Amino acid sequence: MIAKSNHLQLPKGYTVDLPVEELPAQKVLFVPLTNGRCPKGELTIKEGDKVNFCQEIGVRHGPFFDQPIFAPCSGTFVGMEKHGYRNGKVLDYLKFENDMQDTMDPSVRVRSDEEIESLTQEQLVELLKHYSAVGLGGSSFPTYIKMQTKEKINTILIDGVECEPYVTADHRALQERCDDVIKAMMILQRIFGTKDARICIKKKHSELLDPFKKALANHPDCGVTMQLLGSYYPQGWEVAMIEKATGIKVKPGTLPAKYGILNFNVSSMIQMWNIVKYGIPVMSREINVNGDEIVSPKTLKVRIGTPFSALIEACGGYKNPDASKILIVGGAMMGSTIPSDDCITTRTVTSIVVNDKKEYKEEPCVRCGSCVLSCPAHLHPVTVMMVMKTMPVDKQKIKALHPERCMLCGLCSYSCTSKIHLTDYMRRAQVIAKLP
Amino acid sequence: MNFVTESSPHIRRRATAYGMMADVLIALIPVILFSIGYGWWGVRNIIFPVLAMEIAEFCFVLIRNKGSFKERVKAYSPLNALTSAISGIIFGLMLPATNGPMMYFYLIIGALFGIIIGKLVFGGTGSNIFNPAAVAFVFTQICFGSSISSMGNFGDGAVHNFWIDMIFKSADVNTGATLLSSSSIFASPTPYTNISLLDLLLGNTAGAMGEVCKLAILIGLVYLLVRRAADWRVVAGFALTFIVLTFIAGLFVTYKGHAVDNPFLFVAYMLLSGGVLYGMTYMITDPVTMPIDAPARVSYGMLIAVFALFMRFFAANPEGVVYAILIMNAVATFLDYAKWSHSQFNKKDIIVYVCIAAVAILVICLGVNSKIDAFQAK
Repeated sequence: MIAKSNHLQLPKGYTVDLPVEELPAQKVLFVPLTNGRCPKGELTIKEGDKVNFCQEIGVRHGPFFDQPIFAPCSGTFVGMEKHGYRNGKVLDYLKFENDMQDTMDPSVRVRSDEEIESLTQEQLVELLKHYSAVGLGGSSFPTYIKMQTKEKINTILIDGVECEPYVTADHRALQERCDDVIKAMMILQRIFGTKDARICIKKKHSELLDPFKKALANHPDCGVTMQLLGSYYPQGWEVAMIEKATGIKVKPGTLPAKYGILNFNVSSMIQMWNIVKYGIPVMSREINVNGDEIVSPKTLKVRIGTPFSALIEACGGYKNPDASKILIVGGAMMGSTIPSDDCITTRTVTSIVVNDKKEYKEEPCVRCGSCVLSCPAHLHPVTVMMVMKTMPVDKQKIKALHPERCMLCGLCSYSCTSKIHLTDYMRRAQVIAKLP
Repeated sequence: MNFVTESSPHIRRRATAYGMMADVLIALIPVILFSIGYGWWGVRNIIFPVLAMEIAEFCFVLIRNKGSFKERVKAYSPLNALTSAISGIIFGLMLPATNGPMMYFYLIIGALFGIIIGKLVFGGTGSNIFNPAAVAFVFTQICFGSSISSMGNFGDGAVHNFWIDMIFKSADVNTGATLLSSSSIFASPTPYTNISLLDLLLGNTAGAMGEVCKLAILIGLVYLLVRRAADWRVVAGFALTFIVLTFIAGLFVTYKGHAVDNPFLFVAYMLLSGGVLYGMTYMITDPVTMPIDAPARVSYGMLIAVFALFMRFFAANPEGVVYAILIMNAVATFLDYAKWSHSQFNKKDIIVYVCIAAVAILVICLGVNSKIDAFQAK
């Protein structure tokens, strides 16, 4: 079939209609000492120390910024343990025994509305930096860097599109916490001096308009609107979203702020509201547990630091425990698989998908052109594959095809009629193009 | 618990390459059914090229792959089988159903040449530059064309078709000469008056057995487009250009005192005679040999139409579609060149299309005018 295939054929077990279930905090919780962006960590507490909920217990050092570490519960710090991280690597985790009291740290305090009203951009940036707010869509880009911008901002876009199949966490969050999102957007509107703030959702999710209108009734003059965008993949990619919502084409390699646009994820907005109002960083979030191999797929509200096994248990476990499976962290299109379910929930985990492993037989390319038609970045995945197959690889040819513009959405592999793993060739081409 | 890792994406589309090729095969069924009406001679024209191409492809797969004999046989995938079968059928259908004993030889040699020189030397399925069926046909026409003709095809001794005999009374069965030499197109009076449009549509004419029944081909075309096994951009580029250019030629033919009443009738006759529809449906839509970008695919279709019409109007050879396809197969690689290939339509594409159309219209106007003058002077 020679066709642009950006409407994904969705598998069954879609959790969009199920309400969020709260998973009680586990007896034992884990927090990574380091993470993908910050390779070094330092602790200010010792083994056996008592900690309070949201207490600052250490700091992770990254190349550009530091992230403070917060205790996920009140209880005792019992020591270090090794567990898997969402990228498949094994990291050192701090192990906490939960005393189920959730005693708040004395440093946490609720801000009054007047205080929030008088918040300046510098104060907000300082606050977000202190609580290490990052983008919760999955990329974990530090939010304060976006907030620091000195450009004139015309439009604030909140990304509630969630184009990935299986992922419905933001959808549920918008349904249940729309008020917080709007309040957070009002802070941004005031700070950046613009009225134009929009929540972007998929056209097929127009049922979100009801909770939005209900929440909007509390803030009649805020000017926040909801915009319906296309229902296709990858509409949630910021470039595609901005182009569809405002008509502005963001050139590859530039930040949207240059064009007067600030864009955030829905969960990031809720996070920001929690930080500004209650002074607590992300301590729990909505996570989809989904896939063909899960007995009863659910959207769970999970305390950060819960092991994956507890989530999967709460969803009824695996259908066929002995079959070979793939465990995807993130969506089925862009998420990464991890080699075991011994992994810990961090705040950037949006969903867990467990599917059975499918083997695809690779046929020779028949040059149908579906990958080129589908590519949202308008690249030529098939040509990249041809160049990558020649030995030795011609670096100049690879560079002329601009693999760096690819954001690995996976549509080329998805649409390939010959089942060629084009995204993998693209990944390798990106590495080669970066070589000196 | 057994977890495997793999790189993203983790879901795939259901469409497969051999499913796409199977769709082409299904689209060929109406034409094959019509050809079976020629009896054994029609069946033979299909079976022998298919067998020859399958065997050649199979040997190629055996030689090319490594491992034990069993593994090599296993490497012969449904895609290999389907693509070579399609090439064989398309080639066989382009020949007339005649009963000369040498036809077996021509069919097998032509098919072997087509698949080996047109496809296997480039690396097999998916790597070929030229359409194997087109290569096979051109080879057969150049080497054995006159002997095939002298066996009485395209006219006198043509084998009767069962379906046509059923529809038309035997007196009405048309065995007239082909319309498509330039002497026929521009001669006055034209032989069009002998053949009605219905005859052309249903296949009551002499000619290559797959190409005569336009109705069967149109059914196949609709199926291909509905199933998206063919890229509509190529078909649209080809059809639009062909119709516009023949209409312009038709204006000259009509207003210089010819038997054709109006240019629309001329367009209909040109579209329904010869191998235009057949080439448009089954040959230019071959994805392997066409350019990869959507804008380039439109210009690819346009250029095939332009070259096909040039050959039809001005060349000694009556049918030019196959040659035009081969020329454009070679140019497709040039259209794909990374420096200027782009997957989205932009202003430059419109300039390219306008340039192609302008040059073609200019040549058609001047050429057809002088051709008609030359014929009238005779």
